Amino acid sequence: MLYWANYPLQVMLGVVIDPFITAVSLLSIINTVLIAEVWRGALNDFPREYVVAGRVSGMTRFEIIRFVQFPLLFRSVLPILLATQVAMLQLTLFTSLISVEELFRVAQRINASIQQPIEIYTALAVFFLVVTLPIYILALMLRYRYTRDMSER
Amino acid sequence: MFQAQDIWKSYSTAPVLRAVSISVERGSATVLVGPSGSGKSTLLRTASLIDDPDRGTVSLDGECYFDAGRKRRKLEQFWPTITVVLQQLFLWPHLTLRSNICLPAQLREKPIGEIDAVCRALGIEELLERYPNEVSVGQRQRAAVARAVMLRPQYLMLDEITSSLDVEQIEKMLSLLESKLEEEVGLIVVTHQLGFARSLMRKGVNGKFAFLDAGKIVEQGGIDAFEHPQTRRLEEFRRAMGAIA
Repeated sequence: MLYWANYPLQVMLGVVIDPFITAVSLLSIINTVLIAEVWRGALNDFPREYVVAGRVSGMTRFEIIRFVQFPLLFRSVLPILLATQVAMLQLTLFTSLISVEELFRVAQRINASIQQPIEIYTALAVFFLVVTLPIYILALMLRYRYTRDMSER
Repeated sequence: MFQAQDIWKSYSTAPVLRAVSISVERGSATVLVGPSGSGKSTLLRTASLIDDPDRGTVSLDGECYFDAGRKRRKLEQFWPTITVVLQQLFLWPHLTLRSNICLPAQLREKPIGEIDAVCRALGIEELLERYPNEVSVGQRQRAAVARAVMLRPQYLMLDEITSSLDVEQIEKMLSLLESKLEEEVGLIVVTHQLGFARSLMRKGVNGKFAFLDAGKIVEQGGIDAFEHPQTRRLEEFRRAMGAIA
């Protein structure tokens, strides 16, 4: 998709767009769609009767969203959203395919000049671990903190 | 006076309610009895406008809030002037019982000082910092009633609120509802328990019942009519319920 957006599409449209902008735009679109899908699924599964309980208690739509729907939905989607962002971070690797100067491409260039692939790609893997691991741990902590078992017995 | 007149409701093509009318005055109780599947809960949901009736009108103190012909609705005054405790309760699981009970009242700027008294009356004062899944069904039922009572409604609809309560707790519930009747609250109560129905009708002024079967009101009237049924169906139902009790 990145390749298609960077080469054939731009030729068809007769435009030249900086690969970095193309990559950022495309990843943003993918990220938006993924996040929207997570929220859509959570909203679809949200028990209608929690909303009914608010309505018959005289709560306005905004109050129901603020005090009932959002807190419950936030708890359920937050870990998934964080996991999605980690996946998006990993997706940035593919932007090297269209010559965006990201980590993988820089590593390739260094390797081309000094020919030490094990050290370079290991360092790259460690770098990714250092960046993604805290986000994973944060996701796990939030899951533990917010996804208290709320099922009724 | 609360009135739901000529209410019709179908799910898919199956009629659940057929030309059912109920009413209640402030300070009195109307009890809905009938076998499972007779339409009592559906009547409560449509009369309280949680679900739209297919046909019929719903009015509160002379003001029409629903007319199926005209679809006129101004529900911001309807709730919580009238409020409902549903059979499935639906306490919000992320809030403690205290927050569940107080939140709607606080948002409507109702005083919440009486929470301790209400919860003591219902026997749940020790449980207020717990979450709904940390208490029993009966305790959740009482918390849901407390939430509704804290809103100080003029009319209160209650669907099977004693189904998981023991005799002592039912007595406490009756005392609370009696105090609400004295405060001129109108009650519409769905119940399977004849004793509970009888007590409620006696405690309010002009207490009455409606016996539903297969989506229609088969018999209705006051406490005397309840004790001396005119229809064989109500007589059978009373006999069956009495045998179990």
